Amino acid sequence: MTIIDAMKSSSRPRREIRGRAVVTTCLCAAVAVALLAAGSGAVAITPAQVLQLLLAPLDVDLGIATDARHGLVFWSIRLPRVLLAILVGASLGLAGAVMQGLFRNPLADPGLIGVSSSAALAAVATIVVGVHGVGWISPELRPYALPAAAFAGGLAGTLVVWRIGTVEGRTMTATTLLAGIAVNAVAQAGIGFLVFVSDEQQLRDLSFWLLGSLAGTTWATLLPAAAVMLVPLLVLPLLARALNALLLGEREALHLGVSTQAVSRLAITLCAVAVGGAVAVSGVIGFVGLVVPHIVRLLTGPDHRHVLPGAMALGAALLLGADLVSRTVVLPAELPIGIVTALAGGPFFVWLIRRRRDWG
Amino acid sequence: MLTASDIGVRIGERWLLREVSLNLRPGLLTVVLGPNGAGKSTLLGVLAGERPPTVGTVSLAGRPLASWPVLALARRRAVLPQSAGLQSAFTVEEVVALGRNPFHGTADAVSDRAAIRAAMVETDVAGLGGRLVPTLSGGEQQRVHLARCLAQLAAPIDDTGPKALLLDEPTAGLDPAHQHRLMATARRFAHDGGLVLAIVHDLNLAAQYADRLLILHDGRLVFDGTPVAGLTPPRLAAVFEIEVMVIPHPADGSPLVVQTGIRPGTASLPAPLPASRRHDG
Repeated sequence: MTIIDAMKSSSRPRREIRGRAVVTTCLCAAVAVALLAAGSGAVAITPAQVLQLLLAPLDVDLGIATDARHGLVFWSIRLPRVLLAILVGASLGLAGAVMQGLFRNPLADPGLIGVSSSAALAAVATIVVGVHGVGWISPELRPYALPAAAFAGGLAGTLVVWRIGTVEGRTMTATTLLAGIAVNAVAQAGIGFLVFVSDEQQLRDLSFWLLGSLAGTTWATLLPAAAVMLVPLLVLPLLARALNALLLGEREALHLGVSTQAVSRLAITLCAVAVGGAVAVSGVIGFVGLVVPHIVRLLTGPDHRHVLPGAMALGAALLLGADLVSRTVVLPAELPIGIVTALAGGPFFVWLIRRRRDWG
Repeated sequence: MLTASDIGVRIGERWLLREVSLNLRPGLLTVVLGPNGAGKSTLLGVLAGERPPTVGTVSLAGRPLASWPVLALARRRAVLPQSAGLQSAFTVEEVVALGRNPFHGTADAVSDRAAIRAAMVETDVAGLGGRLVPTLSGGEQQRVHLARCLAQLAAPIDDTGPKALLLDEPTAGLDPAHQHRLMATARRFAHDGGLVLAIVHDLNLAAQYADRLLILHDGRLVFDGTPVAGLTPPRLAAVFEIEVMVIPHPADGSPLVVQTGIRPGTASLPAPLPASRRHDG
């Protein structure tokens, strides 16, 4: 009896150990891909040299030779891009995991609450209206017009969805989800119209942007984005226990002491900030938010204390990998990263559907 | 301890519950009976603080329910809703452990493991610990959620006062053995100092285990007293529209309700008896 009891009581720790191992593995994968990505490109830098470059400002000498060209490429081109990929990948993965948990719907995607499409609509409008529309902005701030418009558009879209989904002061998750679908459709119509009226150059710009890209990342674009996106990345994981309770149902969560209204509002707001920020700096990158949480959940089980950090780490790793592919596979050109993520994510998603198991 | 003063719940033009006043005390297993749509779940939802009553007030331990923070409330009372449809691949033990969520980061968290084990043994799900909840049968899932509620309360009474356990049709989907086991668990929880309110459909299960019986009919509380006083043929005919005979239970003397058919003249269905007579003739 005691042996059986011991075996039974060890089942939870075993899943917990497994969960931690998965999170750690995802983190290691992200670091490894980051080192690889930072070194790959026209100027090749070995992972060891990357480490040496990173440690040099701290006066640590690993005795590995690097030249000035390495330093320049690494610090001004590669590192900001790698950091942005980490930031965007982690945000998309995390927001997807939170949305799927909050809506108890395995198909929920950050795009589903209308945030990506309304951000995209605002960005496309900015491109098409172009210099005529941003003429009043001082020239040094013009590069920020597009990301700022996208971010504001994403938040505005979420606000609309939220208002539709809130009846008599209560936010209904099912209504919110359906409202998101409706807002998506309207935003897509708006994008379609703008594509229709755009000229050839605008069309090239906006189609590239609609497919997502991390090209041309500089510290100047990275830092404001990082300041905004770090908030959801730091706060959302704190909702893990509340999201676990919410998987039982809203009433059950309430009876377990979760302020369901406060939690869902905070979660939706922060997901909108995370995804709005990601879309603002990198365009629409599909499938990461949908697929990454599923992969992690498949490995760890549904406990958000593992799913959330795991989705952040794996999202970062996958986006780093996808960005590496997108900028090396058709040299000297760059493939939009959304093509890479959708190409990898689509077939995986089919496999997921065919399993016919509900991991939500 | 859990007191409802003249509460009513109205949705649109319809009163789901009206003029209900009651004071639930720890130490007693209170069972709610009533036909479908009588307002049983509405009453439980209001007492649980899930929805505010349209009129009247509910208070727990002398404090209006509306002014209890949800977390403080979760440390004092647990609610087993009707058919919790969990789809996530949580194991049995993980779901039961969710019951301890309200105590995360408090001194009481040290008793988490013990409370989870005890609750799983009590509800006979200890042997299912590592199984995924969505793969279990309906009755097994019901027991897992009961275990979660018991783990949440840990003990019927502690230095914060008595705990309240509200059960909405906890025996639905359970086999007879587990129905009795559940009612015995609920009664023991109450007799050990806790407060238990359970909605039950089985009249005899209610008769056998209830210390106090409430009967709801059309949103009104039509009876509040002992099972012996409550389960009378005229009342059951009026409330449930059934013909019954009530005899003393051979084992413990509690009322045993033998249902003999639908009360003639009230049912919308054709009465079965005349039809069979015609067949005989």
